[in-house]
Amino acid sequence: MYKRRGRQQYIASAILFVLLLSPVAIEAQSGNSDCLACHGDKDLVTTDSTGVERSLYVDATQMENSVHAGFECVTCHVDVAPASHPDGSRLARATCGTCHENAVTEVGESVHGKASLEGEALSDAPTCGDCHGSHEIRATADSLSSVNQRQLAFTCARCHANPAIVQKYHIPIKDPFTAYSRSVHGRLTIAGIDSAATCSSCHGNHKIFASNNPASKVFHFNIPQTCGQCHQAIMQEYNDSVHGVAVARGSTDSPVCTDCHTEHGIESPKVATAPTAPRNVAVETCGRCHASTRIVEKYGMRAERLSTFADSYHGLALRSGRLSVANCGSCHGVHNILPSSDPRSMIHPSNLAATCGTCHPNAGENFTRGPVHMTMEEKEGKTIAVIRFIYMTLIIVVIGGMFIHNALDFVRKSKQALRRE
Amino acid sequence: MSNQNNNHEYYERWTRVERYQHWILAVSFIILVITGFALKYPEAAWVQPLLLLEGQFALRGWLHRIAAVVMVMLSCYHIGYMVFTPRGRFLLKAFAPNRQDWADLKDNFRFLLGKRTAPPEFDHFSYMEKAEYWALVWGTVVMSVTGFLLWFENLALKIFPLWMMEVFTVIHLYEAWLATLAILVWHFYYVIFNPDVYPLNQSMIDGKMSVHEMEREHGRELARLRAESMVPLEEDAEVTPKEISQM
Repeated sequence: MYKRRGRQQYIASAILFVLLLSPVAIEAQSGNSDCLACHGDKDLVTTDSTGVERSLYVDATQMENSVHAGFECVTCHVDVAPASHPDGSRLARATCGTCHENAVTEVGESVHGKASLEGEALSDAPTCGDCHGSHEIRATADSLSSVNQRQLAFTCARCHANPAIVQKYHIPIKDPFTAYSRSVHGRLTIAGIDSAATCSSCHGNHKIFASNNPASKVFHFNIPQTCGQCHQAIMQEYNDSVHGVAVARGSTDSPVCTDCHTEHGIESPKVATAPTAPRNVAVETCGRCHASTRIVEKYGMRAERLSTFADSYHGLALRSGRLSVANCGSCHGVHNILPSSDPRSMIHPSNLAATCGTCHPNAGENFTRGPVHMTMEEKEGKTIAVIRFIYMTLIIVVIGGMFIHNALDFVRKSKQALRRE
Repeated sequence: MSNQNNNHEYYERWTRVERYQHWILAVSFIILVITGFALKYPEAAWVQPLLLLEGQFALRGWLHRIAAVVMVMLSCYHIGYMVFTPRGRFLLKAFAPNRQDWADLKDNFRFLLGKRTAPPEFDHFSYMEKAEYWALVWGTVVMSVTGFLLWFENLALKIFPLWMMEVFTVIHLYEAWLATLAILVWHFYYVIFNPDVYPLNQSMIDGKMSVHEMEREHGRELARLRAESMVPLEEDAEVTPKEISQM
């Protein structure tokens, strides 16, 4: 979306070209020179309403790099009254909306636009210029533009990684910038991959809403579609899965992409710290819901899925650091997780030999005979419980008997030894 | 007894090959215990050094399997030794439980509870040693069978349903606890913490047992040996330990 120049930009460029060659352009330049007579002075300052001194200097050369090169000052600073202005009367903000009507309307509805309407926030809420720059506004496709893919995260971070602002406005996510710059998206962006996701890919640009707003691209139910902009095949797999179907039915508990992959800090499962990495997936990702009493009870799911795995050979080996053994995803799939009753499911009885066969090449019929997550509920589980009980009794009786026998022996021999002395 | 060359004061308790068997068993058993429980408790601090290479090389698992193979091979050799050598057959007979063991047990408990002034006199093996030996035999069979079924799970699953693998796992775990605790509580007491032998019963190192120890632990055997061979009392004995074991 950043590569394509908008039609408006072409028209603007064409007009600009004509203007620069025409006497009108000279006229315009001379109009700006009236302003620059004062604003070209590097020492020109004013004191704003909070008592802070601000420079009023305008570097005319910045305009040469701008998409607005050749525009008159008054095109944007519309309320300049040439007769009275030099007395120092304050001007309103430059108006972008005369030309960029849609953008201004969209921003007005966004979380940023709403914030700027709340009096106190006025000075902090971003205006057009805070993101796009003022006199040096470059095209989005220009890699030096503050809203270019390579720059955008730094631009948003000016506020969103600023602890004072984050705290003042109770922004729940404290530092998305650090997480993003570590993430697979951030690292690809830094590496110069133009298609990698940046802030606006998931949040939108002008229409940024809080995540609880159904219009937001990061609203729980919109996230699969947002990620699906790039990860289309995965989105389709997910939509068919038990999780995707539950989300489509309105479950706020059923995970969307970000629940497993995290949001700003998305990392490849090959990165050891990723919640989807083999060593973490059972506890940090699947276990968060499948070992949660609240969720297991609410949805009538089978209990002890995590503990039975963790104590199995696969679970123990994984906890030891052997990453090649099966984790949740090896048997259940990743995006395509389906209940065992579904013939498409990797753990449907007819597919088990193939699923287990990935690691156990000779997996046959016997792989299907017996529950994998064995609990006391199963009849086989009761057999196990009986064996366990027999052994526990045996250990207590035998080892206990040995202990008593030898404790008596020790006491008796010690007494005799003392008597001899 | 300080004079090692004065052979007549010692009886040969264990032959050289039996001592080799014991120490190979001890080392492989200890490796099996450590590397086995390391799998069950992967987060324990003492396990961490074993797992340093786990991502690249399954050191713990291979140590466990190598020790298991050593122990099983040793067990096969031991069966041959016990069946096909005269000394082995003598030991096998000596290990056989009999009525006397039951009487000894009762007498020993009387002694332990202070109702007898002295413990009973034991033959070549006391009931404690017999219990130890047969527990080891039993444990080795159970652990080997379940262990190999779990090691070669693909072959095992050609015969058994999946849930039986869970049964083998549970048996392997609890039998491991039983064996380890038996060694700690039973064997280590008699060869280490027992006030009579502390800090260590030396017989598995030098194979020898002094007359004094024989009197204390195998009085019945000593009496029989003396009666059978008419070996005079220690001051003028000229029989070497080797000769005694061959009698």
